Amino acid sequence: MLPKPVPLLTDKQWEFVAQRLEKPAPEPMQERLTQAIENAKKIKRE
Amino acid sequence: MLSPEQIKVSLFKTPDDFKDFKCEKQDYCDFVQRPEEAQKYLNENLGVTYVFRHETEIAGFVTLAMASLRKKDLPEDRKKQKPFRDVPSLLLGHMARDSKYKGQGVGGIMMDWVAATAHRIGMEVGCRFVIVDAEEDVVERYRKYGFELIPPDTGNRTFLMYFDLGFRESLNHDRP
Repeated sequence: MLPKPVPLLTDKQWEFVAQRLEKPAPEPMQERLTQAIENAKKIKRE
Repeated sequence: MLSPEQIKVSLFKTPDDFKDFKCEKQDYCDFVQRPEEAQKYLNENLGVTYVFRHETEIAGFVTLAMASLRKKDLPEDRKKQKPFRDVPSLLLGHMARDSKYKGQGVGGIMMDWVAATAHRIGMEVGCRFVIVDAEEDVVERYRKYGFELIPPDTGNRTFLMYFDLGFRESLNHDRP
């Protein structure tokens, strides 16, 4: 099963995304990303 | 529970490595076990599969590709407005872990690596979101990690979810 193409957005979905772009990432996502970066440094790359 | 220090990541090499791999969705096993899928995608650089190992065993894999969020039909006058027609994103195409690693935190470790990779890409090129087109049974798993739903299109059987990497200034972490 190959990855599917990303569905095109409806008007409602596009409005949601457009509003999201104007704002900083939600605080929980920023915190998650900071932690993810720290954790990923510990994963050894072969 | 496994810790990130116990995991190694490498590029997908061959379906032979996945002979003993078992996960909850046969489609995902097929993807890495059939030569015409993950390997072909890698060779053609359409999707890159990364393999996560614990000691010598494969614990899971992810497949990544660049993608964009696009609107179905954008009127000509709107094409000139911000935001643009496309929102550049990193697509998490596939993610699966071997069934014997269930409950050991492998999914979270792989997701951290994906988010950190998206962050690194976002420092070099435009990349606002990590996106996943999730089947219903895994929506809660992604939500638990921190993804949020884009309001669902009732015409689709899958659920588009995003993890927002934020403004460029907030990407100014140390690189992974």
